[in-house]
Amino acid sequence: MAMSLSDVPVGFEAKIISVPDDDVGSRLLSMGFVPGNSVKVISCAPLGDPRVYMVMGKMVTLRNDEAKRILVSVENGMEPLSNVTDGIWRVVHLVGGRNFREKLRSMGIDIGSTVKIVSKGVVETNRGVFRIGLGMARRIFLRRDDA
Amino acid sequence: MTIRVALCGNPNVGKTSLFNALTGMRQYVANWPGVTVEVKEGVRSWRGHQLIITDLPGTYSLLATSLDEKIARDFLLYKTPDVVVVIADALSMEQGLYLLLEILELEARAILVVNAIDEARQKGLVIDRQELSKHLKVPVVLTSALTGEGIQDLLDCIVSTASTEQKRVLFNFSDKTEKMIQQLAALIKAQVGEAASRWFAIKYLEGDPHVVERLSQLVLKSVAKPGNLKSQIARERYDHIQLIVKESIMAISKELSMSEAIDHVLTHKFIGIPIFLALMYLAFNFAFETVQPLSDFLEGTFSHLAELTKARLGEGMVTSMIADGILGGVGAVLAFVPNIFALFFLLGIMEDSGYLPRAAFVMDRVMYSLKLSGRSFMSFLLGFGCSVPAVLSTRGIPDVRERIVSVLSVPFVSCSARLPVYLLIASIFFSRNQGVVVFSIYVLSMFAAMISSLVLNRTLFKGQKGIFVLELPRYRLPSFRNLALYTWLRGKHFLVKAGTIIFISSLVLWALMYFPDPNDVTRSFAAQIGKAVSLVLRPLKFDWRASTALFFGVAAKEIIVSTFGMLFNTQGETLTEQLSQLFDPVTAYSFIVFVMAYIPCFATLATIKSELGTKYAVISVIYSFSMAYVLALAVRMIGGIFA
Ligand SMILES: Nc1nc2c(ncn2[C@@H]2O[C@H](COP(=O)(O)OP(=O)(O)O)[C@@H](O)[C@H]2O)c(=O)[nH]1
Ligand SMILES: [Mg+2]
Repeated sequence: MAMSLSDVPVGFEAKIISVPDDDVGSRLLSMGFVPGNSVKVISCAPLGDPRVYMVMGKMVTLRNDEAKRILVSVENGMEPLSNVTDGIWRVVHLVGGRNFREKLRSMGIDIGSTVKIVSKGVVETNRGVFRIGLGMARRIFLRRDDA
Repeated sequence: MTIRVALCGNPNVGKTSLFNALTGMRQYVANWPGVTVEVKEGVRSWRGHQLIITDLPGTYSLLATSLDEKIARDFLLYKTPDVVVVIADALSMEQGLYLLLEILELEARAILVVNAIDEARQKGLVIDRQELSKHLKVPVVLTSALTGEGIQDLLDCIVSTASTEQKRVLFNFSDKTEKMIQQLAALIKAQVGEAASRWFAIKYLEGDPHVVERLSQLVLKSVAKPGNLKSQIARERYDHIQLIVKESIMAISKELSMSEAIDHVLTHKFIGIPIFLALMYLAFNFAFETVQPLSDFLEGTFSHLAELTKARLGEGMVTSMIADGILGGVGAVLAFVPNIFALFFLLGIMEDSGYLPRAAFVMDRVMYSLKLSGRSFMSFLLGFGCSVPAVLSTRGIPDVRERIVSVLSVPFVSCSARLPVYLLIASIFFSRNQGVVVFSIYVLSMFAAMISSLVLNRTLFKGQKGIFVLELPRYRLPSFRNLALYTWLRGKHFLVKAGTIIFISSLVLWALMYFPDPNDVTRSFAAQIGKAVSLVLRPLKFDWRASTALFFGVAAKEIIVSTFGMLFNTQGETLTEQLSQLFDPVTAYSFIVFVMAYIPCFATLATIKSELGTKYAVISVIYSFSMAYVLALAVRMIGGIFA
């Protein structure tokens, strides 16, 4: 499912779905940000903005404002929690500092743990049922757990 | 036969390096996107032909989104060179091939050059030139601008291509896209002619504003909206390119491990900015303190020469002209040549290694809060060398508003010509922490440029923000030749200035000081001008001598030093001893702050005028003078509290 390139964590690769329909978009297209191509997040500047992306062998900087308008899907079935509405999922990646992780751990969410999504933003873990805000949900990455 | 050749390609693929290799001309090159800001021409004779070669600014596509790109594109469209050499980077060819496909749609005679083949080889990449040529249907040459490999092949290839038939090598889009192109082309034909109709149709579908506007009379909406197939067309071109690349490159190892490792430190989330500041500090320290003994030696030599002249020739007008006017004026400036060369050398290292775009990246967030981008920051950094190229480099900024703001703010960044003034003042009033004081001025000048951007954004343009899409080139070890060339070319400019504008101004100044009474400089014409100016500058406590220096310093900042050199050039005492009575430390500091900010030199003003028009040149004068005044006054007031 689609998400913004700006929400893809550093180190991950994503496939481009669309770029904005304006001058910035034209520039991006010519630099290789073409629907269907993959793009990797290389690093971020102080304060998390802008970030460096690798597309077709070149490193290109983009501000989150621009990256937000590029829609992508993260590869191999990974989704941010904010995109998921139901089913059993495994937590594979968390984007945030120690406090963030600490807080999630207290709710029973940690890398490797399995969670059940009840509805959009509502998660059932072994510690109970929690409502998770959109800001946080964007930073929790899941993969469908079929087992 | 005369053959007109255009070199084009993405920023940073080595166009300027190749241009130099082809023409033997000494055009400076940089590892920094967007450094070629003007169209540069050079001539080369080869096997009885005369090649006129043009180095175009870097561009990713012909859908020009910045002034740089417009320059490149208009050149290709309207000057129609005989041969277009499209340069691609051997390590990431795709974007270069994209540009090639677009240029082929113009039905130009094109050659593909795959440059930096030395680096490709090092990485174990094997590029099959025949295969590339077979798929693209254009001649392909592999070159290294660094080692000179393939340059002769390229010259031969240009000559042979120029004499071939102009042929249509068109890339065929998918059936659906082609159908739409042909429908449009049929409608457009009447207006733009048969030959160009396909190109116009494609550009219309890509949403090129220039083309859409030109076709606005026609009713094309029934076939397609402008920009309808923007993504689709790009996708189809890149699909084609990826196939070709797969066929013609062996042993792909797209590793950038080295660059990534260095980047991990230099653009680090937390230490990126401290590292940047530390590097700048080290650089300035080197330029000011390490090299200082050389400058001291030169200064001694010139004052010695002046004394010698006086001793040999005896007192008189000619003696005074030589000793006070020329040796005092030009000599005072020349003494700073070592510092300026050192500064350029260091800037050269930063540019050539690829660090500067990273600095822009690291600082972008700060610039963002000023509604600018890291791209303007690069122009600011370039301003440490000289404001003129810095103003010109703003052409690469896509956003018009951001560009104007940058042009008006760049002159605040302290250029090397202002350095002699700081060094002179700092060595006298702050001899113990000279390095710190000078560095503080440099930092302050960067702040001034930023504050200025903020002020302009708040007043002239409300609210908008710039964008920041910049390619980070891979790190390269700066080549000594390149560095020496850079230092020499920029430094030479300074020497030329010393020999021309500063020489002449020194003579004029000398005359204004010598007459009407050689024995009393306080009654001279120069002093009268200075006294008039000092009325305005009185709140800053700049006396008539400082005012005179500032007045003449508008032509070129070094002249401030020359003026002091002449004003105080009485026998026995050196300039240093005399100057120390001119200011107290607070005034001295507010003086250099004023010098840092006030009115751009003539050369810069001329550049601003040619870039943005007279209106903005005038704005720049008034604006920078007010800014200088406010800053200097602030220093006075803050200094007054502590003193
Ligand atoms: N190793 C290597 N470096 C190159 C080659 N061509 C250019 N460079 C370097 O690439 C950087 C950018 O070159 P430049 O000519 O300014 O690129 P332009 O922006 O396209 O004009 C400089 O640091 C050059 O020294 C090459 O063939 N091999
Ligand atoms: Mg160049």
